Amino acid sequence: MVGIISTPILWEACKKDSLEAASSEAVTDSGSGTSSSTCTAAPTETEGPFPTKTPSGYVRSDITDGRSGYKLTAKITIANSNKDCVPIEGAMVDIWHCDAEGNYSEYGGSGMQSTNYQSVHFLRGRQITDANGLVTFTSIFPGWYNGRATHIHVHVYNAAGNSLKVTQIAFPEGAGTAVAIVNGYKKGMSGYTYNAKDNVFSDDTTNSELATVTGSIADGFNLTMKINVPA
Amino acid sequence: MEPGKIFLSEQRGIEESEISKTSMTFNSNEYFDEHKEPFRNLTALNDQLLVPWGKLEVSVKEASHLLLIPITGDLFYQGENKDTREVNIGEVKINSFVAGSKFNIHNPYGWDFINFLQIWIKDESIIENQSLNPAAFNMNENFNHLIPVLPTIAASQKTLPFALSIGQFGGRSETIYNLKDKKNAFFTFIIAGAFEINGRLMHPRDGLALWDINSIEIEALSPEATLLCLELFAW
Repeated sequence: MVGIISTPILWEACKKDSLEAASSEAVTDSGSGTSSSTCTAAPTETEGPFPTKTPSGYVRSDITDGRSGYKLTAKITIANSNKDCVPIEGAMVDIWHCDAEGNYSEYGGSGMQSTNYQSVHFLRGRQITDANGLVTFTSIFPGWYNGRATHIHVHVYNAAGNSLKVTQIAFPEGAGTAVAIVNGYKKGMSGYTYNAKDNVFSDDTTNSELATVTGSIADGFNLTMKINVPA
Repeated sequence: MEPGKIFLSEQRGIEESEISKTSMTFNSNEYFDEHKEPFRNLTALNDQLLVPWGKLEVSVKEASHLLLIPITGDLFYQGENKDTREVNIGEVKINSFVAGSKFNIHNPYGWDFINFLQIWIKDESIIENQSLNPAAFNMNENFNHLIPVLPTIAASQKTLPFALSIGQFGGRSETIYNLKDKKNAFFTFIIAGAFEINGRLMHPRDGLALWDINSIEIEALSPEATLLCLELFAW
């Protein structure tokens, strides 16, 4: 038996029968789409014949996926800019950022288990806001790459799935800041692009995209950010 | 802000019977959710499992085109007037139906479940049933590319109001889908693996609707990531 993907729901090879052999009695239709009948005895398990429910495991708080780096806890609050910036409950928030070396989810050749897709898109995740509009992600402090200041990508959806905002979070700079303490991990800061020169953040004169970041290498860093979206 | 709407896999409606399990991206059958209304003329995308030797009987509520796409295992399509076709992996069966039509889907295997997609696109201009030969696509030979499956095969037929592409990609490979017209709308469904599509993280069996857009950036985030893309024509 073959599948369009390499991990079909059932895998073992087997012989197909002709339609005549597979034919069965019909039942009346519900009138609104699909109904069904079969010639075989239905399985008797009380759970029903289907082995899996769709996992909801993609909504996850820890997006580290084994990547090494200094711990970063990101607390992001989503509020409605059309309604006095009251918190939005039930919004979906996707974030993604690069690893300590400045790479996005590299695939293959880096020791990642390439057959497990969940480990390929590390440092990406989705959370649903609580009654206070808050989502919390556990990750690592992002590294940096040529041409960009340290940043986290954010995509905010409403509960219906409509996109409300695509934005990026910038990090404070200067003596004593987390960016200075982390010092680009092993890479150092030579050639680093600071916010003022960054092609995304340089026009953010009111620092509306700038997060508050506290903490230390020993205790981990804490990022807090409020994002106002028109909802 | 470029408009778009994501349809999460885990938010789909689910109906189970003794022989089938149907996961519905849009309102269909008995499932209704106010946020899952049709997208343009795309009225249903049903992801179905069918038990060994199982038979589904489907009745058509309104004049529509049907795309029947096997995901795991081949299937038999059995229409009216003894119109029976085998639809294999790597093929898409296309039918145009008037309201009230009926057909069956059979699982030809005695031991294995099959998984397939039913995609319904409403078209009030359909005046008679039409059963096209299955359209073939080869993902192995076209790895890392979106394969235009339709409407190329239907050139001799009445033009269909949509285009279908399917592709399988290795992790980190990228492609761009250019719409034929900005007035057209785009819908993608992730069959396997993970993608980033225009700044959205997409997981298996998630859907995404985009409109008012010229082109779509698609990046695979996992090996053998597989998706289908529908362009819904504005006319």
